[in-house]
Order: sequence, then structure tokens, then C-alpha cells
Amino acid sequence: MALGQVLDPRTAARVESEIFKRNSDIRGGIFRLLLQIALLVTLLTLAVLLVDVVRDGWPVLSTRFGDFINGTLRSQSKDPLLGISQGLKGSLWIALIVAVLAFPIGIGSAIYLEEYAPKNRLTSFIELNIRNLAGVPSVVYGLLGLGLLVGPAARFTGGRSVLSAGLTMSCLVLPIVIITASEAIRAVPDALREAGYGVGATKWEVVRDNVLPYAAPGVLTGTLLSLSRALGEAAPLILVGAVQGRLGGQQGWFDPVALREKFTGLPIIIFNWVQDGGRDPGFVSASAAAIIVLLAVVLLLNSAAILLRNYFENKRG
Amino acid sequence: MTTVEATNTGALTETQAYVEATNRLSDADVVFDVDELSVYYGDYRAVRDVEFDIYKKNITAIIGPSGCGKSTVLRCFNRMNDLVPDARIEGRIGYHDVDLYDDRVDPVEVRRRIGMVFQKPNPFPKSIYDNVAYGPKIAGLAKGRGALDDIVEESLTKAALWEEVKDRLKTSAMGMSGGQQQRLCIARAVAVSPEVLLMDEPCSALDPIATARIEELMQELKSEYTIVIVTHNMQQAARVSDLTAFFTAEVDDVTDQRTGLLVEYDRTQSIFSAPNDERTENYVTGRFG
Repeated sequence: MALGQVLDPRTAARVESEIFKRNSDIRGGIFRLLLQIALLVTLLTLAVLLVDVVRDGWPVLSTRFGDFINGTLRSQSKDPLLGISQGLKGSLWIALIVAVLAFPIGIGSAIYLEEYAPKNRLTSFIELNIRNLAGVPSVVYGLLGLGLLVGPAARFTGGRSVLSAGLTMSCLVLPIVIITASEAIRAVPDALREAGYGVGATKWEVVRDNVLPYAAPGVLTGTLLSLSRALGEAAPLILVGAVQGRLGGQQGWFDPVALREKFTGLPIIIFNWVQDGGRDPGFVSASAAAIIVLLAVVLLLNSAAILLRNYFENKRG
Repeated sequence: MTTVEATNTGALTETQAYVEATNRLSDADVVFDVDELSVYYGDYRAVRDVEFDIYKKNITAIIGPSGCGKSTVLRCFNRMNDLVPDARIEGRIGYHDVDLYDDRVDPVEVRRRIGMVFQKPNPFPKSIYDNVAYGPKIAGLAKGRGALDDIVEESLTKAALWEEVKDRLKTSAMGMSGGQQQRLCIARAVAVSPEVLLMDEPCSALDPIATARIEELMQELKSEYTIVIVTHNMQQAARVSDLTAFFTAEVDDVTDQRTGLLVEYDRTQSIFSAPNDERTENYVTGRFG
């Protein structure tokens, strides 16, 4: 057959019947629908939560935002001095302690485990245990804090103090930091390390100049996300003695003296006010407002994590 | 002796080639002296009983079918196999007659003198300038900002890349084409003023034009550096190298393991036109491999 000649129309008809779409792919359609429903349920749940909280709490925030932030724990919800400053202060202090302690120790451990430690049964055992620790319920970390920091170490930590809470939360968060940093470091391609060694870099130089910059987005994202977890946990705070009543004394926002004093945190305040809502309905809106503040802080941290990750990924080219 | 005209450019008659080659070799220093080298990964013997010498300012090609230990042997020359946990060698590699695997030898110093270009271009995810400057910087080779700029320009020029990138030194290396990235890797390798350049199939990820440019480059670099190149491409070995080592693999009857070994090592002209071993002849004439 010469090129350019029209093909046999019977062939065309046969091919058409073979490759043209059939109307029914019912199973595929149902599957897709189920997936969409799953997504919808997730989104609806989140939406309901948000709408509920914002509806209750927005009036409080919109009318007296500044006072709310700076106010303190009060027994009456109508009290104009009611606010979350003590909880906010406590939570921010805890965040600071976690950042200063858990991040360097966690990232350092991850670097050691991934780059320096020999791959043998001992290191596998250690890694397995770190994974287990990440899954331990947070209340158990609270017990650790209570048994170790609040009791025997009271002279150093001040007993039921922000310092104890910060140390406890650092322990809670440490395994997560190690795991996420390890995964980020493991994801660095070996070709990059080889390139570094190839021009005569020492192991430390390869880690510092090639591995860490490449892993930075992943490490940062992981650590910031773990920080939002630390801010939201209530159980360990309860055990380590976050105050459920009024606090005495007014310290400045970042007065280090506060480290060893009685303290409270945002999750605890929320918890209290929800309970107080039984006897004084005004606390319901107050608790909703506090929840909004906590959500906002967490959202801020997560956004910072995403922005930083994007920045480093772009720099990485 | 009949005179045979080679068919590629720069053709020499057989007699002329023989005379040139022997003259060059007799003047040449031995840079690496490989003595009964075997390389093991754990219990697996990847390569056995390799015995050959690498001569100064010559291009030595290592050819052979897949899996016969070519890259393994190459990576022994700059201690890159140290990075593989189970790897060990038996035998001796002398670098200017110093045992390369002596306990007192610092692999970092070795790698500054024996550079490497890898199969897939692997520039650092940094700017072009920083890629080239990194090696000299950490080796302390540049005193003062001006000196580093000079090294970068010199290295990029040697890699035939300067004209193309001189106006965008601060842009990311990742934005370059594959051929340019590989030339950047060559520039990076020469920036630390090594004596030897090891090239592990440097062109296998590149298109023919980029390949031709790099082969051209190798001829220029030969005047300053000793080059050892592993290549799958026989024609490339024939075009580019002065000496060729042909490896093959044996399969052990009992364990089914493949172990590489050196079959023949000679001047490139001889390997390709009059090999001594039948296996070499079969490979270079395309009967297998």
C-alpha cells in the first residue's frame, strides 16, 4: 500500500469500537464519589468547629481585644479585667524553653544519628525507641514532669513552675523533632555528599555546607510544627501544676523571675472556663475567645513554617 | 610493518603512533601503581587481582561491560570507597609510591589532590561562583577576596565555561543545562589544583554535542592533569585516551557472584587494532558487551 492512501474504513470502525470511551465506569464513579464525600466530611467537621467557636468568641474579641489579651483570671465573666494574659505568658514561656532546649538537642541528635553513627543494631534499637517515645501519650510526660521536676528537683525548677512545664514539654517534643529532622537529613541526595567529599571536604564540612542547608526546609517545618503541638497540650500542664484558680502577683511579660513561679497556660485557661461556663454562662464566650487566640497562634506558627520552608527551598534552587 | 591509516581525525600511521606512544611512556612518571588490588564489599569480592600503572599526564581509559568493577576501581584512587560502610581493599595502590591506604593517610588530603567528576552532574545547589569557590575556600587556597575570584575565573576558563557564564556567576548552578553543569563540575574539580582527575562516565548523561565538547576539553586538560576515565563508550575511549584498560567479569560457578578483573592494558591503538587477548578482541569488535 502506498503512503498517503486512505485506510480501509472497516479498520477505522473497528478501532473506533475498541478505543472510544464507554459510557459506564460505574465502579470508578462510585469510588470517586466516596472519596469526595470523605473530603467533604473532613472539611465540614473543621468548618463546624470553626464556625461554632468564632460565633461564640468573636463578640468578646471584637469588643475588647486589648483588654482580653492583657486581662487576668477572674471569678466573674463580666469582670472587665478578665483576660488571658497569664495563660498567654505561660504558653509563650513554654514555647521559648522548648525552642531553646528541644530544638538544638533534637536536631543535634538527628545529625549524629544520620551522619555520624555507625549503622548497627544498637543505633537501630535507639531509633526504634525514639519512635516509640514519640507515640507515648502526653499525660505520661506530665507524670515524668511531676515525678522528677516538680518533686525532687523543686529547688532548681521552683516546683510547679513554668520552668518545669517547659522542661516537660521539651521532653514531649524532643522525639518528634528528632524524627522529622532525621527524615529531612535522610532525604538529602547522596550525590550531594559525594560532590562535597570529592573536592576534599571533611565530614563536618560536608554536613555543615551541603547536608544541613539542603535539609533546612524539612527540619524547620518539623520543628515549628512540633512547637504548635507543645502549645496545645493540656494534660502535661495539668499534672505539672498549671494553676486553675487565680494567680497572685503581676509580673511583666518577659520577667525571668516568672520562671519559677506559679503559672498557667492557654489550654488550661480554656479548660477552666469551659467548666466555669456551667455556673456562669459568660465564660462560654470567654473560652471560645481564648480558643480563637490559641488557634491564631498555632496558625501563625504553621504559616511561618511554610513560609520559611518555601524560602529555603527557593534558595536551594 | 604495514602502515595503517586510522579513520578518525588527527590520524597517525601505525608506526608513528607506536613511536610517539613509547617515547611518551618512557618519559612518564608513574602516578599510581596498582598491585594485586582486590576490592570487597563485605564478603562479596567485586574486583580481583588488578595490576596496572597510571602514567602522568596521560589519559587512561577503563572500559568493559557493565558490572565488571570499573567504577569500583576508579573510586579506589581517591578513597571514595571509604564512604561505603562495608568496602575494603586487599593489595596496594601506590600514589607516587606512597601506600594510599596506609593508616596515616588522610583521605581528605587525598581527595584534594585526586579530584573526581561523576556520572550524573552534581553541582551544589548554590551559585556558579560558590560551586567553584567552595573547594579552594575550605582548603585555604585563596588568600584574600581577589584571589578567590581569580581561581574561579581560571577554573571556569579551563573548563571552557567562562565566556558562557561570566555575566551570571551569582545565579544558581541548577539553572544550567546538563552539559554546562558537567563542565561546572570539571571546573569545580580543577579549582583545588589537583594532580589527577578521575572521571566516572562523565558523558553518559549528556547529549552528543555536550559529549564532544567535554572530550575536546579532556585533550586540553591532559597537558596539566593526569586523567583516568571510566567509559561505556568504546568509541570515546578510542578517540580520547592514550592508554586503555579492558575489564571483564567472571561468574563464580559456586557462588554465582560476578567478580571483575583486568584482562588487558596497553596503548589505546593496540587495544583497538591488535589486542592480545581474545576477550578484548570480542569486546572491541562488538561481538559482545
